[in-house]
Amino acid sequence: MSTLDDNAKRDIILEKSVDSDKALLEEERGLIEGAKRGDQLSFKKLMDKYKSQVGGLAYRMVGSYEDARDISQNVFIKAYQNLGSFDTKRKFSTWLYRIAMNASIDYLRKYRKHKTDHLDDLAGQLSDKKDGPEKVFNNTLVKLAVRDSLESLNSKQKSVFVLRDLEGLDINEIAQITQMPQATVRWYLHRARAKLKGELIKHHPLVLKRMGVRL
Amino acid sequence: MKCGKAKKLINGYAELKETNKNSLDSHVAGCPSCQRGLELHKASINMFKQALSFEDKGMSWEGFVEQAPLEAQHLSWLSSIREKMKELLRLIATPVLGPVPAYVFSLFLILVAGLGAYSSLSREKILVLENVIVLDREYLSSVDDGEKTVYLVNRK
Repeated sequence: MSTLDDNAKRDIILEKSVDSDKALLEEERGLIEGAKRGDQLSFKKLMDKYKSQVGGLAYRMVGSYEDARDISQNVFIKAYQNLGSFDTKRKFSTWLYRIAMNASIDYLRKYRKHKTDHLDDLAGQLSDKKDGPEKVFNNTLVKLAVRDSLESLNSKQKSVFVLRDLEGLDINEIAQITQMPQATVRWYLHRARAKLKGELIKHHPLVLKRMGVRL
Repeated sequence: MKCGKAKKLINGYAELKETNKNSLDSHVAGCPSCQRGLELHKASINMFKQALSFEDKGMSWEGFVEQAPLEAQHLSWLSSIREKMKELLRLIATPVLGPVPAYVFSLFLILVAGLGAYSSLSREKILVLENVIVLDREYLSSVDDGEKTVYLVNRK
């Protein structure tokens, strides 16, 4: 009897969550339609909803909060301009991710030479008083190793790696964002992971050892 | 499972199907070398996740939502055309098969079509020399000894 009750309860919860998902989608569609008609308030609500996701993706691509903010700003400007061509049957977040990814790649191409600027964030962490000096030192070493290894990837490898391993998206969605076949996404992902591990072993074995990895 | 296959599977551990994951796990449990490989794989991805973890409060959002729509309205039509051109270039540079971008296939098709058109045009080339017709050959020279004329043509 109790199992039956549990199943019924689970069904009700599932139904409720499906209903709330539908309601959210409807609400989002309404905002998009509003923004398409030129309603700035609707667009601002969309920005509010997605700014963290866009900012997070840009940050993981370029490694600096300041640059990620500029990129996010550009992403929403582009989204506002091109909203007319957005098909409401498609997923808005996928469309926005694509714009964010392209904007980040454009930024990296333009400002790749100034990569030392990104160390500003790391220097800021060194003065963080919350953690002990050894932890701060370790974190900084890890960040340096990570940034250095990511430099070895080309833009396609990097975008696929960031979307899959850092953003946690599935291969199908990454294929839609990058507009590549799923097999090609897998191929780039495989190359990126192998290259990153190779870079860490070759140039940062001490960092790996500090992390407790046996080589 | 052999170590060679296990090493290949380790790199795509997160995307493995349940059956492959189970057989890899059982191989790794008895193989110290692959165990280290899997440890390195997991640790390196964790390292990247940790080092690039995004904190919303780390970013300054002040005035952010208000600014973008205003700036978008002030952008010229030229910049939107530039954006569309960039998007088009990105599309033709998108890999279609493995890392091979779409434009390579387009260039290949154009080349094949060009060669086909050239060969079909050159095949119909007809040359008329007095009373002699030279079909699909190039006329070089002729020698007349009074009785007969020898025409020299080359094979194309």
